[in-house]
This record gives sequence, C-alpha cells and structure tokens, in this order.
Amino acid sequence: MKELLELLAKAVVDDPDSVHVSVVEGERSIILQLHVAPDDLGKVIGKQGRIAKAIRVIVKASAVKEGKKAIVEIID
Amino acid sequence: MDTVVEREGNTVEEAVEAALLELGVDREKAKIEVLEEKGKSFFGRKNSGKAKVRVSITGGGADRAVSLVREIVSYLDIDGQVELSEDDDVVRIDISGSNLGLLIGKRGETLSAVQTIANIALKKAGINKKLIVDAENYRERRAENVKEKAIQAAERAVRTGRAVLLNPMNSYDRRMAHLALQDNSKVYTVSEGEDPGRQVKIIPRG
Repeated sequence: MKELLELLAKAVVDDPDSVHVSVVEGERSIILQLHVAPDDLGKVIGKQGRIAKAIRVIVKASAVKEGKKAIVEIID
Repeated sequence: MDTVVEREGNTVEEAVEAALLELGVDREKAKIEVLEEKGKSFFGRKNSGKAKVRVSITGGGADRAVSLVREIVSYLDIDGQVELSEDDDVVRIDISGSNLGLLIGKRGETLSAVQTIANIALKKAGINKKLIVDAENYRERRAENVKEKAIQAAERAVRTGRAVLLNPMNSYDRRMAHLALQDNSKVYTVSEGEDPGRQVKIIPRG
C-alpha cells in the first residue's frame, strides 16, 4: 500500500525524489502520511481536491483486499 | 519529467546516448535533432568542438501512462492485461481480465481515479490527447445502463405527473442521462445539487 501511494504521488509531482510515505499501522486501520516538496503540494491535491481524491480512492481499493481502512494524510 | 533535453558530447552519438538516458526512453520513441556537429559550423557560429543535440519524446510517451496503469493493476493484485491503442485524438488504455470489480469500484469510481492519475502522467509526457481508461468495456456498459434507467424514470414521471430524481452520478453519467432524454418531448431534464451528490431531475412537461 505504501509503495502504491508512492507510485501514484511520483506520477503527479515535479520532484519525485522528495516523495516519501510514512506508515502508522493500527489493528483495523492504516494511516499513510504522504510527504511531498512544498511546491508539489498543489499537484497532489489538484483543483477542488480532485487528484487527492483519486489517490485516496485507489489506495482505499488496495486496502480493501487487506481488510483494513486506509487513511491518506497529505503533509508538506 | 522533462520531454525535451539538450546535451553536449564529444560526438553526436555520445550526446544522443546521454540525452536518451536522461529522458529514459528508447531511441525509436525519440526525435533527435543535431544542433551542432564537431568540425562543422552552423549559421557561421564558431564550433566549440563539441556535438550538441536536442532530443524529445515522441508518441511513445503514452507508454509511460500504460506502465503506470500496469503497476497500479499489479498492486491491486489483479491478474489483468493492459493494452494501449492510440489514434490522432484519443489514447485508450484497456484492461481485461477476471475479477475487475475492485479496479472498477462503486459506480466506476476507482476506474475514474486511475484515469485521472494516468491522464496527468500522459500530459507530463507531452501528449495532449484525450485519455480513456476502460476495463472490460465497463464505460460502454455503464452508459447503456444509465440510459435505460433514465428512460424508465421518464416513463414514471409522465405516468405520475411528478418529477423523478435519479441517483447521484458523476458528470459523465449525468450527461448520458440528459442525452438519452433530449429528444423526448414529454419530459425535460435538469441537474441539481452539488457533487458528489448531484442528481439528474426528470420533469414532465405541461
């Protein structure tokens, strides 16, 4: 799930080297904190949060197969 | 990701190699222009003794969007084939396989999300074409389904003399509903509410 989020974030940013994800795993949920370069914050959020929503939807789909709830937090 | 780079080298070949490496594409997917060649002068300019080339990614840039989709599919543990077809205006990425439900998602939500991300990758590769990501013809089947529901709802609206609201749908599906009823003289349609809860309302005339 971590790798998937990294893949998605790297696909949309200008500075893929600054993308990294930290994971806080609970029993029933998993929190993924996405860090990107400050200039790329707009790129991962998008107009009206469209890109952030797309990223969350895909990550959640992958969480389903692990039987967990995934929460993606975007941090600059 | 850059789509055009300029590189210098001791020979043209060396400069091209360096540029291709930087772009991360194969030679057949790149356009190569020689700007300066060793021992030749261009436009009367003095030659630095180095070769200089400009290399840009051509049509093959769609491969980046395809490999991205392929990776997403494998992260979702889906055993599927991902294929590209391209014409002058549209790039289509079709996914086929079994158990694509997870990839499609509720009302195609996940499929649309994959399309959104792949579209950005495509535009970054310098391709300004419309991108469609589809799985087992889901989009067509969905469009048919929406049209059918709209027609049934219109019959109900006419029969009862009351407006009928369809379930909330995304803009593409709403458009399908409006189109299905645009020639129906007994009803007219409007959209109301805010996304993601925006709905098509079918109102009987007269």
